[in-house]
Amino acid sequence: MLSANLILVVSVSYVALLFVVAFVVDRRAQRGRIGWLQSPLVYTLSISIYCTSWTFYGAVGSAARSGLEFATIYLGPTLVFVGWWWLLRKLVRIGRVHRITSIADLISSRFGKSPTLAVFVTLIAVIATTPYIALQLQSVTLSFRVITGDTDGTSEGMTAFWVAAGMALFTILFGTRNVTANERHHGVVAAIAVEALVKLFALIAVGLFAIYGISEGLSDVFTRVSPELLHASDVFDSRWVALTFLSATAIICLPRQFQVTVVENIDEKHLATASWMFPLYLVLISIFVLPIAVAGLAHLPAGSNPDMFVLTLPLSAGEGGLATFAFIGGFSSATSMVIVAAIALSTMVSNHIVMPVALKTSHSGHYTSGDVRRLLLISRRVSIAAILFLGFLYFRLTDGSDGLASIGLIAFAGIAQVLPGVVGGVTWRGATRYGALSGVVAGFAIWAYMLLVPSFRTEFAAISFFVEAGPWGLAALRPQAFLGIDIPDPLVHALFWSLAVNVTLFIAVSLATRPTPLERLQGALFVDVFRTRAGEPPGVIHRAAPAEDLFVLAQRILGSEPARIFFEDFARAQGIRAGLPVVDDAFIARLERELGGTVGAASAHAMVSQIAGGGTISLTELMNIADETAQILEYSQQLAEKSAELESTARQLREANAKLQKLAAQKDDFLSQVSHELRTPMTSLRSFSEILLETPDVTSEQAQRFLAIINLECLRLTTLLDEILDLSFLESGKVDWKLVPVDPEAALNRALESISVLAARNGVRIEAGEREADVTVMADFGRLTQVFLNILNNSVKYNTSRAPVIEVRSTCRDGDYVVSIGDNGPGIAETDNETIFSKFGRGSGRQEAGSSGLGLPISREILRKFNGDVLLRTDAGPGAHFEIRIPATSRLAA
Amino acid sequence: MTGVRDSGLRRRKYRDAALVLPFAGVFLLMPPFIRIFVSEGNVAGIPTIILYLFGVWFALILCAWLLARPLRDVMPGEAEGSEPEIQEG
Repeated sequence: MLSANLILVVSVSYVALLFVVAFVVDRRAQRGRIGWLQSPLVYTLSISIYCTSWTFYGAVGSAARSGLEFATIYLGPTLVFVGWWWLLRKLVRIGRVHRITSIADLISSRFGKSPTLAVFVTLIAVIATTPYIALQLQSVTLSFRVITGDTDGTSEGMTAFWVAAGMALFTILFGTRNVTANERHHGVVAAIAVEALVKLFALIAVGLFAIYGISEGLSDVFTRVSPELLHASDVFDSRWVALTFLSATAIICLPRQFQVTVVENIDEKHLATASWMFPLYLVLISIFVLPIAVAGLAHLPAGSNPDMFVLTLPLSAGEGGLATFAFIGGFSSATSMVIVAAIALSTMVSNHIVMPVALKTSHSGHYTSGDVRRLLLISRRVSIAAILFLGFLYFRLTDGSDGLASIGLIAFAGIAQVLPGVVGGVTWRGATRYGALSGVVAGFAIWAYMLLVPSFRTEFAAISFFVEAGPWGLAALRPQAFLGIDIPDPLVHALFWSLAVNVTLFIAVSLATRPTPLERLQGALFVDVFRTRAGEPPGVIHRAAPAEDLFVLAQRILGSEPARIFFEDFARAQGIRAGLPVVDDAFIARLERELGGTVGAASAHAMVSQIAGGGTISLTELMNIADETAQILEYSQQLAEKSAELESTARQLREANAKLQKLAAQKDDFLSQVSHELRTPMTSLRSFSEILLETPDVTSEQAQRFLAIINLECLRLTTLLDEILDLSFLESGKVDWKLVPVDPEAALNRALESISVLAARNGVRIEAGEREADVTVMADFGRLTQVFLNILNNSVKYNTSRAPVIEVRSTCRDGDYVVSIGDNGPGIAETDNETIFSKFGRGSGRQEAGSSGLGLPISREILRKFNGDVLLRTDAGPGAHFEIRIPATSRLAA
Repeated sequence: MTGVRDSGLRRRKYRDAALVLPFAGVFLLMPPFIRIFVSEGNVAGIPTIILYLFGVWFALILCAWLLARPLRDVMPGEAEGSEPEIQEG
């Protein structure tokens, strides 16, 4: 036994150390130096407030009584954290995006920022947490009594009171320094991280002492572990499943766990580290539980309280130092839990109960006149004191009745009623406020009826009777055998009924009710939080909100400097250099979220709505907004069409312009070609006529020859001019063609006849291939002959082969009359394919042959008038092969 | 193979593994499966059930540890929206 004074001094110094840690870290954080505080390790350690004094002392007791069952309390959280990708990740993301301040805020925010729901969840949290706080007080006083050897328990009440008062002081000092900044408390988190390490090391130290100091090593411990001790044969039943489920629920839904996991989260990535580090912490805590329990059962006198083995084991061995360390470890687990729970609950109470009441009762209008910050801080401080006092009262009332663990499990089952609302809310868009409300209220009522009330039965005889016989003696309504269903374990029984009714009502009522527009909006934002950008949700509030009033409100809540910065930043983002930002939907949404980080979504929504003048949004208003949007959409669509039209017109214009430019260039080309073509004969005309004029002694023979040349050149000029005229005549389209049925074979024969003289002169043999007989085309006989003659002429003139041959064939193909004229000359390069059909466009290297270069263009122009064409076939072997096509009207009867 | 498709595939595999892990834990640690290991037997002096329970527990932590790094790398960091590729290794 150690002296009470010594323990007091140690405890007070330890508390002083925590104060210093919290103070220093808070100061550093204020100066923005929170480097290591942002590490995932600190985050994980802060989550370990899950391990309360119930874990520290109670787990050993549970192991001593029920064997392996203690492990379920850690297996549930392990499974949740190992499966963090499912739910925790989403909760943390939602918490960060929507500035969630507590579990009640999460639910109310999801279900249309419903204040009613927030109040209920807050009440449930307070009711379920109070026994838990009482439990911590009890464990501190009990351990104090054990370690000081005070068996009469006279000082018990005083100890508990001072412990509660000390914790309240710490929490108020460091938990309510600021009201905003997303409810992060750096000093508290740091202190809790220290406490997490202290309790872990203390338990490990006692565990090692139990194994090597009292027992004779591991093997000795395990020889004493019998299947009976482990309850191996009966522990893995429905209770095992139920307890694992409960503890898994608790790590998500307990207000303090939500506070450290979601609200105090700085970086989502920390969750990845915590996903294995926190389970590791749990397994380290629980690995020494069995050895301690075994050593205690073996070496301590029969009838010792197994809940205190952690303390009594070192005490019995005279290890005062180790016992003190263990006491501090237990003290740490109790205080850290109480501090965080008090912060989480006070946030909920002030945001969801005090603020709405203040909003309702204040008639000074719009809540811009009173200092909201002061009100918030005061209400939080009062709430903390009140919650701890409630815990103290509960402790005095029950006065250490049951084993520690049972109270903890009852609290777990109470808060588990929130789970359907949370999980359903973030995964199911169809969940409605009424569904969540009815589920949670019914589940909680059943919990109170089946677990909370019966837990008082040793204190009150009436309750004992009520539990045994049922209300008004109705056996069917007995709280621990409802409707006669025989589930031997009261906890499993209550859990079964409460959650079954809770989930059923949640789903059924959700399906039966219609969500408000705001609910639908929030539902979509929560369920699809990974798909929506962190940007602003569409606002659904009137825009007539006066910016000045909103600014005053923000000043009251955020403080004047942060509010000024917020408004200035937003104005700058809107492109306004000085003055207040324009109050648009995005601004309202941002402001609401910012304020929500302090007072909770429901209150923030209510306040801003009051000022903005759009208290509630009716469906018709929403429809109007939708209409307006539709109109704008339609208008913009029209605009888009118009601009597309304009664009296409512009494109057409550009094309026409390009064509015109090309045509102008062609015309210039043509003119220069014509002058060039005219110039050559003119030059020879001039020179020969000059010779004739200026040379007196020219012989008549010479004169004859010169005159012949002049005559030839004159003829060429005339032909050229005729052809130009012909072509321009054809191209002008003024010709009124009278197409009549013509026998094209006759025209071809006429042309062959005409060319035969020239061919004979050039030594060209004309080879007649197979010919089509009896075909008629719509054409002009003279012109058609001209076309054939032109092409034959070319073939003859350009055939430079040694034994020139021209092959002429005609046939009918695909309803066309086709004449092909091929030669064995040098052929035409593929690149010249188009050039030869343009005016003066002789193929390369054909300049010398002396022709106007207009034959092919004229032929093509004529044929097009007959709906036909002339093509150069490049795939028909060496030489040039022309193909003339004219649609055949009919074959004459064979 | 360090193509974009390949890293996308790996990322999805890690994600799927993370989604399956808790269910594997539930299966291994809940009745009826866990009852298989309730026996009088010892392994190296340690009761089978203790060995099994803590063995599965540590295995779960190990798996979570192996998955944590690649999954953390695909999470958006403080700079929203930037999703770095999973590092090969």
